[in-house]
Amino acid sequence: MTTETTTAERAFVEPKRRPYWIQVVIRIIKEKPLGTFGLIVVVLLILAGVFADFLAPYPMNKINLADTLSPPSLTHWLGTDNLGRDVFSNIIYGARVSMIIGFTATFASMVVSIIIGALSAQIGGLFDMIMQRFVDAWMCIPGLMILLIMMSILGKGMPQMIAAMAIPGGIGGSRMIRSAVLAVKAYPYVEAERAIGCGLFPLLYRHVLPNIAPLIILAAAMQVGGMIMMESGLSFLGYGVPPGVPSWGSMLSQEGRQYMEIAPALAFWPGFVLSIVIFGSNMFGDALRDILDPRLKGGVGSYTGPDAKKLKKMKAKTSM
Amino acid sequence: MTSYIIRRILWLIPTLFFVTVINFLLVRWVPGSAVDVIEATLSQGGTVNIDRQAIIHMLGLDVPVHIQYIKWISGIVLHFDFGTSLIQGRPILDMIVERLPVTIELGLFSLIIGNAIAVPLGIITAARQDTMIDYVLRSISVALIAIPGFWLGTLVMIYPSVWWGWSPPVELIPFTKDPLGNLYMFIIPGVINGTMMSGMSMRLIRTQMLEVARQDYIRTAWAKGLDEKTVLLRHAVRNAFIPVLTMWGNSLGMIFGGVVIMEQIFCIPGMGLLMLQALNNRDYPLICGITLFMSIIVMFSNLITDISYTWLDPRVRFD
Repeated sequence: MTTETTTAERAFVEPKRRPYWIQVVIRIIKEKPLGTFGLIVVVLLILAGVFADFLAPYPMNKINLADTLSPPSLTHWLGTDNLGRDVFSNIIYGARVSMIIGFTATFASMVVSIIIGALSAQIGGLFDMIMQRFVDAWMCIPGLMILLIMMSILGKGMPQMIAAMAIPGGIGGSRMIRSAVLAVKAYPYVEAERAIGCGLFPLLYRHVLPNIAPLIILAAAMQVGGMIMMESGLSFLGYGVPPGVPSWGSMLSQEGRQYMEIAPALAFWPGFVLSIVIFGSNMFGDALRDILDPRLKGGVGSYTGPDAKKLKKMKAKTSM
Repeated sequence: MTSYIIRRILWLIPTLFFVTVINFLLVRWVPGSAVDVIEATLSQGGTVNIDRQAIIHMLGLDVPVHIQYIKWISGIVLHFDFGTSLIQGRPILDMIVERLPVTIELGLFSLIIGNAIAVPLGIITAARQDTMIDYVLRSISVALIAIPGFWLGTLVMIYPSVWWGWSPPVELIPFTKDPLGNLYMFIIPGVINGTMMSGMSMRLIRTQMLEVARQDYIRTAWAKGLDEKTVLLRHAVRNAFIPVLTMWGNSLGMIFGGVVIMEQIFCIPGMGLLMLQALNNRDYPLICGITLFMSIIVMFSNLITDISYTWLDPRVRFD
């Protein structure tokens, strides 16, 4: 029994490592069927958003007054609305709007959360106390009211919507980031860095952010569904996207409610697609959290995960 | 414990200050001031000569911003005077109090109906973990969170009238005159608004019950030979529900958001509809007053929730 391994044995024992994110995706597909559904929905949403101009059979908002309020047919897969616009095309363009606003608002909200949470936790003391009271105050005001007031101040439009949704969402999420940064601050090597005089921003950039990166990714994945829902809610109430831009919420409130007697399906499809998208992104976020959480048994980073098992098996085989 | 309560109440003061400042500033940032809006309303297409200075003085906009803020706050604190509405000219507090019972009733309905379904289902899905029932109920709970309330409300308005010729009642019957008629009006928006709440409750109840089930005292209860119903309902539920109650207390803002949407769809004259009308009419004192009122209610509910959390669970101390 020799303790040194030859090159051949070493190659046999260490399996070929795939990139990390491919491992995660494979685990999602193998272990979580609902998560796979969510992943497919998110991928479809992104594809529909990016390639909307190629996927939609008719151009956006193409008015065709000869063919209004028609039922589903071979030329118009889901029918047309009161101005003759194809419903299927408008849903695809609505997907683009939802995707852009959802992802951008989530990203912006994460940025705001990190700035407020990390600074507040790292500086600490009186600044931290005052910021926390400020965050509490902001959380007391009902979310929809803040959004409505901000949209009525800023006016309708996509950048305004993104800003209006990112700021309250970011302030709300800053609490979680703050508690994570407080936990990181207690690590011995971070304390040591502060002891040798590391400045505030290098400390944040080099030590705090890499430690909370998984948490940020998870939080972002879970927030996307909520942002899409808020965008549709605001558009439904009339305080969202400007009138020319198709959005699922405004399709529901404008054409759906006005023509509900004649063509009830106009109200059905946008909401149905919206539900599926939010369901899918929530499921994907859940599956991601279940897999990436190293505290749970069987997470990708754990000592008892599938890669570790394979390694042990191979080691056992070769040591005969 | 009392020191914690006193500290928590003291924390309320800066929070209250920030709430008022945020509300005040949010509404004051409107580009194109209220005077332009009044001018537009008065002229209605034609031109009219109005004395801008007089209107500015009447609205109190000619003093610096911090003096406006002090005047507004002292009005509220000393006289309970939230100001007068720009468009209707009535005191704002009267308008709010008029519509408050409707909104409270709708909110309570959403909370109660939503959780009446969620609580038993959540306990069942935790007790039967990893069986078919569990998977079905978990999917349903996520679906309930995902389905937007405004879509469900719109469908409920549309399809019954198309299929059966029935539509929800439009006229508000006060509770004192006819309780059943009143309940009839509120039950449908209440159920729809409660769905998102019930989805979240089900998930949280399941997580908490599973966590409690691993504890030693539950194992002792099983070892004593108690049957499942007793172990669940007498021992597990009490400990599992503490975070759930906290979530219910803190979800008032979310419920109010849903109430606003429901009032818009079903035309129920409550505070949400008042808020939307005020936004449409650019009635800034009213917007400010409603937001401040609701913020104070949510803040006090958060306070009560936090204090009751330490009372219910003596192991917790927020030092």
